[in-house]
Parts: sequence; structure tokens; C-alpha cells
Amino acid sequence: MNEEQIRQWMIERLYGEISPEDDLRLEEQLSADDALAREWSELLQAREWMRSLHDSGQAAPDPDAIHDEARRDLARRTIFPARWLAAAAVLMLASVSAAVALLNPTPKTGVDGSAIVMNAPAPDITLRESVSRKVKPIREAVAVNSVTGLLSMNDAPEPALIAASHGGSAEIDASAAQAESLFRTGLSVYNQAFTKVGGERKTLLESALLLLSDVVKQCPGEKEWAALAMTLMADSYRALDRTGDAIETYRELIARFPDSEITAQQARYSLAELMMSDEKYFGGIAGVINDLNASDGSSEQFATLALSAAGRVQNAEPEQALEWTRAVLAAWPGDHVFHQKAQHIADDIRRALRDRDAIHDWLFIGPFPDFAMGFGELPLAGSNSKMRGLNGQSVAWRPVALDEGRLLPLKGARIPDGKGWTGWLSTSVYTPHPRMVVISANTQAVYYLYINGEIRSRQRNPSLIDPRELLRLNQSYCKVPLEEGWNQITFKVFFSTSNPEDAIFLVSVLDTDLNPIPDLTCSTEPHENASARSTRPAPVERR
Amino acid sequence: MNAIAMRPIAPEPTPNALGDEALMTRYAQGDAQAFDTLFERHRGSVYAFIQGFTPHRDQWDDLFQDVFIRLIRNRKRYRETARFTTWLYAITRSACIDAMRKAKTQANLIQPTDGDTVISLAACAGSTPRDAAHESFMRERILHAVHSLPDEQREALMLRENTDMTFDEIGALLGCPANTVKSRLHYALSAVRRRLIQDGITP
Repeated sequence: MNEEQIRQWMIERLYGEISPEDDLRLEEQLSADDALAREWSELLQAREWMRSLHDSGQAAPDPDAIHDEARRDLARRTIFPARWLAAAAVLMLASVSAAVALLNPTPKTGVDGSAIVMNAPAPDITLRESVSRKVKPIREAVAVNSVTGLLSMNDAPEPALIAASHGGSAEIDASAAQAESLFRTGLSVYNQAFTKVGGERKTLLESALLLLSDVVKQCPGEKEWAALAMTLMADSYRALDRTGDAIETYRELIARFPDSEITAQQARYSLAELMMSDEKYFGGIAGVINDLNASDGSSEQFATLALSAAGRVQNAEPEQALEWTRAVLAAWPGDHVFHQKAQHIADDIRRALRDRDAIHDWLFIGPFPDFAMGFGELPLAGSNSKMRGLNGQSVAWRPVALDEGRLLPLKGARIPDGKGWTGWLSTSVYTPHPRMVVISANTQAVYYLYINGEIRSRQRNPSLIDPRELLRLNQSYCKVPLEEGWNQITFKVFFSTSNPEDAIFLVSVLDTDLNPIPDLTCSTEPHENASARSTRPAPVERR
Repeated sequence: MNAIAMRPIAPEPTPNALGDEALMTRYAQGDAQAFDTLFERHRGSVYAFIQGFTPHRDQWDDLFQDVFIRLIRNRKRYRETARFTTWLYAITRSACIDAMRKAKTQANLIQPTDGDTVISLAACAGSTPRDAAHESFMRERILHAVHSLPDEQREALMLRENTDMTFDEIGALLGCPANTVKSRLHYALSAVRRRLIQDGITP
């Protein structure tokens, strides 16, 4: 039976399109062949996962703009001339502006309705197809209508009543009333914009910008209104795809109202979101995230942002990414998804850092026959002739650098095919003070680890290990003490294959949290440095 | 005088009782309510298709809107002889491909990475925050696995998972035989499973 045919039946059955005859045939095949039965159960599992995607699916948006457009398209093609809408838009703007002019007690500095129409771009009735709303709602004085998604003012007394009830100076009351009035008008036009698409939306947003900027200019003392107005201004810029202006406005908002818990904090998140979405501005995100860590480090919103950013920069700026994952790890318990996600990213980064910071220069002697792994003594310089290499030749300690940053250089070693081999690798590490460290070894080799001549880790005798197990890449850790000054690290390694590509040997010295240690120095030629207390390691002792 | 036999007048079917094809024809003839019904019927699956098709989540809402506006613009071109779902997903697929092509040409495009995952707890309906978080995490991993598929496997999988289209209909839409669609689905499901297992998700 053709396997391809059986696989097609599996898919047909999986999606309910299989004929009864084929179903029977498939069942026979599955009963007779374990591998196929396993494949079938794996497909079922994958399908189950795909189904769970449906069940937990994010709700599709229901933008009014689509319904409006569906009706407008019908109307436009059947009843109204196209320019009707343009005229309506201009009329509406003019009436809004006139209302502002009436409410504004200082007409000279207030909003001039005609100016708005003059300054606004001509309404473009050719509807652009997709301009979505990418704004964040402001939370305090405005609310989001759950049905329409539009922003609206929370119930508040009319401006005149505010003035009457305050009992403060008339000047202050007038300013508050004026700010609120201007803001309400700006908000109204802003909301109107999101019931339109294309050029109409653009025109209304630009008009909203003019009105809202008047709140900031004319009522700078009304901090709450000015902050809200700036939030809406930045959101308008975003909706207009003027990212640079939006960023500048958010920054100004944060600088002017740093203590405003709602607006400044929300502005920081909006700023971060914008920077995440536009590579041109992405470079500035570290400062924003660090600010948010200080002010809102335990929130879900911060965790989501920090993990997203950490994932983005983990290759280019691993240390920065690690710092953000640490902030999340510290803020969330171990069984929380944020903690697990942060751990996942942190592990990836640490692995990459280990490889990047691995020791690349070693003193090496070998390769020796595989049975040399059983020898108890380390070959000393000057006594190399005692031990012969794989092909009977004499070998000596020599400095080597890892090939391609990860492989022991075995070219020219003439290791017979299928033979394992043994060798010694040694280097020295300087630490300014005694400390516990973790030696991380990423290698397929079985090894013994010596620190200053003392054996610290001994893996199983290779002859007792299943050869298949030897081929698996090992990442192992060994916690060891380092003395102040130079410490000699020596590995006796056994590789079970002669393939140079298997000779991966990445060793790093890490702190006990598996992070790189910046003040360690590594050298194959340890020397007295500025620290008078550093000591040169004794030669490797014979055992 | 002959009596005039009165023929009973059949009640006008409500939009909900009509098939997609009849609704689309009605909308093309000027019935706005028919559009609302069609939209309600298909918006979930169109959105799910878009989410699986394009990894750029900042484009999802725009694309969704784009699809239905394209449908509105092209309503007069629809012929009832064609199956509505096939027509709708031809539009959806075309909008997605256009968007991805456009995204690829933008030099400053940020390619999604593993770390791009944004965990959206609000999108989940788990009974507790922890369930919701878990569901959300799973959903992100699955979506990520789907996004890592080759284009042709991903679109076959998304069409089959999100629509009621048959293998033949999907083949007609993608321009390949039904058997090829089945092969792509087999590879796609196997790859999704493999990827999830690699990510540490256990059955």
C-alpha cells in the first residue's frame, strides 16, 4: 500500500471527508502498522491543538467603519453625488468650530472656526481603505463606549456649574471651564474622526489636533486637562501615522506631568508600544522600559512589554535583555506564565552568552589513544615523550584556538576512522578574590575536571557508557572554588568519535547564577598583573 | 364572475435564514442588512485566518478591515454561481499576500521573532487568571508554530481550519490539486506538532 495514499486518507478522516470504504482501509492499515498508528495519533494531537486555537481565539473586531462603509457605498452609488459628503464634513467642522468660538471667553486667543476649516486639508472623499484605530483610551475623565469603541466624557457638570461650585477665584474657574470646554470639543471631533475612514478621518484628526493644542497653549495651568489633551494629540498623531510627532508629544507629556499616575504612565506604555513597532525609534526603548520598571515593574503590562522587548534584543543586546528578564523573574512567582516565559528567554540568552564568552584559547596535548583516559597522571611539559600519540608519534603541549569558535582543532591529527581519542586541555583564570564559580562545559566529550591540580569532577568511565549517549551534546555544570589569583583549569577529555565536527568544546566560567563574571581574566600564559597578590599556579602535578 | 384565486404570499425570508450566496446577492442589490448578517457570520473565521496567515500582529485589524472593504467595493462583481466562502477567502488571501508583500518591501520592517510574542490575557476566556494565562501562552505558541510554516502549508492549513471549504475548493483557490492540499496539510500538522514539542509543549 502506498504510504502517500494512507497519509491522504488520514487527512481526509481528520477533516471528515473520507469515504466509508477508505475509512475501513485506513483502519486496517493503522491496526497493522504501529508506526502509522503513531503517526495518526500525532496528527490527531496536532489537530486538537489547532482546535484549541479556535476556542481561545481573540475576538474579531467589529469596527463601525465597516458597517458605515457598507451603507455609504450603497448610498454613494445610488443616491448622493460624491461631493455631498465633502460638503457635509466641511459644514460639520464649521459648526463645531463656531460652537468653540462661542464657548471661548477670549476670542482673540481662542479657536477661530474659519481658521480651522482653512487650515485643515481639503476633505478627500476618496476613502482610503484601511486606517485602523491604534490609540489607547485615556482612563480618567474620558471613557470608552463598549459598543462603539468611541471615547466619551464621563458625566461631569457643565462648565458653568463648575465655575459656580468652586468658590475659588473667578480667573481659575474660568480657566478650568475654558480648558474643559476646549477639551470636550477636541474630543468630540477626535471621536468623530473614528467614525470615518480615509481623507475624512485625516481631516477630522487634524482639526482635533488644532483644538487640543489650544487646551495646552491656552490653559497650561490646567494640568489635568492639558495632560489629557496631550494624550489625545499623541494618539491623533499615531492615527495619522505621524510617529515622530506622536513620540515627541508623549515625551513632552511625560516630562511636563511626570507625576500623573494615569496619563504619564499610559504615555510611557504608548511610547514603548510605538517604539516597538517602528525600528526607526526602537533604539530609544531601553530608557522607557527602565523607567517603567522603576515605576510599574510588577504590572502585567510591564511584564508583557519587557518580555517582548527582551525577545527582540536578545541577540543584539543580550545583557540588556537579560536585565529585563530578571526584572520579570523577580516580580512574578515561579509558576506564573510570565516567570516561565522570562526563564525561557533568560536561558536562551545565557546559553548564547556562555558560547560567546567561552574560553577559546587552550593549551592542548593529544590526541592520545582512548585508553589513555584511564591514566591517572597528567602529562607535564618536558616529559611528553613518555606518552605517545595516537599514531605512535610524540606529542607536546601546544597552544590551540577553537576552530569556528567552538571546535577543537583536530585537522592533521590523523585520528583513525571510528576511533575515539583522549587529550588534555588546560588554561588559567585570574580572580581578584576567592569565589565559588560554575564551570560550564558544552561538549560531547566525557571529561575529568581538575582545578589547580585537584580533581573536581569525574564522569563515568567511558567504556561503561552507551556509545549513543556519548554522541549526545552535553551541557554540564560543575560548581568549584577559585582561589585569589591565578587558578589552573584542566580537562582530560574523551571523545568517542574521530569526526572533527563532533569535537565541540565550549567551556565558560560563570557565577553561581550562571551569569558571566566580568572581572575574571583568562590566559594560557598566566602572568603577574597589577594585583600584587595574584599568584602563578604551580605546575600541574603528576598523580 | 370568476372568483380570483388568491395565492398565499410567502413571507420574506429573514437574512438569518438565507444562505451566504443569497445574502451577498441581496447586498449587491442594495440590502445593507444582508451585509451585516454576512459580516457577523464570517468575521470570526476571517479574523482567525488573518491571525494564522500573517505573523505581523499590528496588521491584523487593518487587514480585517481591508478584507471587508474590498468585499464592499467588489460587491457588484459577485455572481451567485460562485460559492461565497470561496470568493470571500480569495479576497482575504489576496489582501494578506498584498500586505505581506508590502511589509517585505519596507526596509524598516521589524521581523517577528520568538520574543515578539505579546501575551494577551484579555483575549482568553479562562476561568481563572492562571487558566487564562496558560491558555494565552498555549495560543501564542501554537500561532508561532503556524507562523513558522512555509507559506503554502500555512495557507492550506488556515483555509481548512477556519472555513468550511473542501479540499477541492481549497485546491481550486490555491491553484493545485486536492491531493496536494492534503499533502500540505499533513506536512503542516506534523510540523506544528514538532515545533510545539520542541518548545516544550507536551500533549
